[in-house]
Amino acid sequence: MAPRGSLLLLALLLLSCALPRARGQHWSHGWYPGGKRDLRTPANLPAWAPRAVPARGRKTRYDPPAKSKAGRVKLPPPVDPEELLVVLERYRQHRLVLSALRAEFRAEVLQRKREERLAAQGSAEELEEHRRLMAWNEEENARQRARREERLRKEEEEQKRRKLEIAEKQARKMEAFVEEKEKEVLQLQEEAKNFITPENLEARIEECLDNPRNYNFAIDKDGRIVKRTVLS
Amino acid sequence: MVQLGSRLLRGRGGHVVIRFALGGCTNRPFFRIVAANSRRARDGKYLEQLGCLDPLPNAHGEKVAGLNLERLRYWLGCGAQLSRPAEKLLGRPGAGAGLGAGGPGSLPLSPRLTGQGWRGSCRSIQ
Repeated sequence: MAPRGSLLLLALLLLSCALPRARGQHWSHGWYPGGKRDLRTPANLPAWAPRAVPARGRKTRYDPPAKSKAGRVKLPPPVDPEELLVVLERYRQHRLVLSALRAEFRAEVLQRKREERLAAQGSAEELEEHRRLMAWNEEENARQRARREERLRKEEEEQKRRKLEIAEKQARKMEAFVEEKEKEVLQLQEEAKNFITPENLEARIEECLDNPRNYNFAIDKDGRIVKRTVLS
Repeated sequence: MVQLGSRLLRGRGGHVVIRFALGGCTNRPFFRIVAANSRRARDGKYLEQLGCLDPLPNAHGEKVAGLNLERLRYWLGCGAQLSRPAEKLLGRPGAGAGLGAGGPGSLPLSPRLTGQGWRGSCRSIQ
């Protein structure tokens, strides 16, 4: 029985592998692209890839989309870049001019309203006075503007000069630093000639042993050597 | 007593628009150039009529339009928007010359009027 059972299991396994994936599609799960009888493997699109969103005609919002539309990808209409550039530029110009004209008309309207109001309120002398004062105000504004521009110009020059100075100082510092470092490097190179390397280790040891130096001495407060003991 | 439509009293939105109100009879349209609140019906109550336009060509083959430029400037100064056909009409050289008589220049020729021309010229070049 056991071999026959195992044979049966094997046969079932082979069968399941041999049969193509006959997918039971249901509209609530979304149609697989290709349609009912599609035997190709699914494309496995990423989640952010554009998917079909069909427009509504005969069906209502709650009807499922047709199976033939399951793999449809809708793209936006193609744009000619030259034409787009031209059109955008034209629109920009148009809007610019239009807004300028509107501003002018607005100024006109406001002026007329003001004049009406003034004419209703005051007499001719008041209007004259107002106009005179406005002119004087304009003059004052112009004068202040000139002074302000002068001041700003001077400040700018000052700033430029300061920046230049700072840059020069920096450059000088850098130079000094570089010089110092160079000197150190040269000094080190000089000293390196006297270093003890693995090659002349033996020779140097021999040298030290051959020339014993006596460091046993005492000095007094003036720094002169007073007493020397003999090396034993 | 002023009876305001309840839709206009909703408390927000709405602006003045210069647009065409359609009138006339069957197969005989006629437009009135009108300044109205944007939320009014197309042919409904308007603030002021600023002109008219006959879309059918007359005996000499011309399409005639009349404009009250003075009031038009007033409304544009008050911040009225223009509908697309109104923009096209006012972008034409004749209307522009009248509007810009007191100002710097005429209204610019709308890009929509010149777009087809550009495309056509491109095609003819290619």
